[in-house]
Amino acid sequence: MTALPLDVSALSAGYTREEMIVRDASFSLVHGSMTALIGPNGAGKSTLLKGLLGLLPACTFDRIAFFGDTLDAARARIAYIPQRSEIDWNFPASALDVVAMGLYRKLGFFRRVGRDAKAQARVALEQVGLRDEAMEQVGELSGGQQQRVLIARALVQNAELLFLDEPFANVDAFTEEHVAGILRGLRDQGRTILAVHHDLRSVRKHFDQVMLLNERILAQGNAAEVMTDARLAEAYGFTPNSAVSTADKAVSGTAA
Amino acid sequence: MIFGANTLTVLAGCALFGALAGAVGTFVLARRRALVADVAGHATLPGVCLAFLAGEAWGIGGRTPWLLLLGGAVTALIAACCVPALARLRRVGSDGATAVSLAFFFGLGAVLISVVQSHESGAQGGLRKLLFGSAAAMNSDDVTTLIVLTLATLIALSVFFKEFALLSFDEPFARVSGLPVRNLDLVLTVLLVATVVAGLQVAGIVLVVAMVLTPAAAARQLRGSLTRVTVMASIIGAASAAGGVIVSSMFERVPTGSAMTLVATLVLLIAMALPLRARLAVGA
Repeated sequence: MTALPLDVSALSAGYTREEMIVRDASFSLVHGSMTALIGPNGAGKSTLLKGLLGLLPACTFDRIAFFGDTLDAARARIAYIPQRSEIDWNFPASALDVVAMGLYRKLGFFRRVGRDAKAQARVALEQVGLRDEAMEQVGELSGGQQQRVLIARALVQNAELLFLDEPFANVDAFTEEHVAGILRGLRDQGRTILAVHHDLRSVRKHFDQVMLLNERILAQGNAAEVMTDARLAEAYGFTPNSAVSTADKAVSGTAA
Repeated sequence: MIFGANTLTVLAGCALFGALAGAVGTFVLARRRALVADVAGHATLPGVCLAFLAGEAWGIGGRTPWLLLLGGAVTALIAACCVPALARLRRVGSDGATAVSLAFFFGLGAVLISVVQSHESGAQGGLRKLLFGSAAAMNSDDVTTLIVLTLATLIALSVFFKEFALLSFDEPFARVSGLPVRNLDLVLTVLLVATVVAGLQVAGIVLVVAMVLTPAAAARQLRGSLTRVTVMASIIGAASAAGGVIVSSMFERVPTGSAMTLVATLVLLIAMALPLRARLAVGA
């Protein structure tokens, strides 16, 4: 049996050792799953992603295994798409330039982005429906287009495990549907996806798996099991309306 | 025009420096290190003074170009590295760290320059000219040092071009893909310090930062890829530097650094005033 794409045990992460934001998180992802990481503001969703990717100054864990290996050994198989707000969109680059950045690792030092790399980047842009925007300045694209450029960058990496931080933040409903469709397509190819998500209403529409976080992981499993009134109330401190949770009679009846 | 060395050589050397400053400045701006450039410029003063005193003490002459530049580079590098270290302290922040570092090193330099001036050969050494730059005071050794340092830095910059680009655009992604971010930042700082030091004679300690940042800021007004913006910044830098040298040679009392800065700022204002369509045309 091949190793799980991600297997984490006892991860605590934060910005200082005294104030860990995420505590004692243990979870794993299975091949070809698409998991939403949900929880209230300040629950540590982004912190969890950054912690396991080694981006935080304070981080302790018993084990983090990517495909049964260390992060350093698995980097080529991993793509990380930060929140759009963490990126300098005024940077002078075309959509094609940004997508080609996904190939820098493979190119290594001292080698330029050649015709091959550009051709690959074009194919990836086509896959996310941005063929005609290849030469546009990234700063002039819409939020949804920028998000798709970042996904295209993950595509040229040919990553098997994708981490996305709020891929649907500040995009319109049409774009959200489009991006979700692209991600589902990647999952259907056998890739594994973990995405921070904040909109409880659309969780079940886009994702098959859900991880509920509020400093600690409160539940993980398929969407119907996790998104119950009781669990959401525990995480968010209030009972969301029944359109969100699975506790309304009809659904809980069939789910059980 | 009265130049210590061949006029054309000085002009070419200064233009080459302007090109380098523009290119490095593009990355410094993209990586948001503009204030570190300011710190590095001012922090060369104590190093230059110490190098002068050391040169006198060792009997090789205080005004040995490579020694002065080496001294300036050492203190500039220390100051630039102090900024992130100080910023990590709680309740200081990076803007506070920048100001503290700049003030301390420049203050130290001001003390040392009075020591140098009390030195017998100090006044003739013309260290004060380093404050605002004086291309006319350059001799052929100075020009050779400038050209060698500039070419070496340009080559190093081109080697790491794509890594600096990725780092500036999306640092978290760069980290996850395994780029040695800390070392690359250090390399960028070293290249910045090398540029600052190369331009000391020409643009002066106080204003060399303007030659790093202003042409780059002007080029950023135009559209296009990073390569194109870098090339445009180099062209603007070279033109501003050459323009500054010419202006300061016509008006003897105008320091070269000031003249260059004014020319570069004029270019920036023009670039900002260009209608969008013209900016697109230049960029595309």
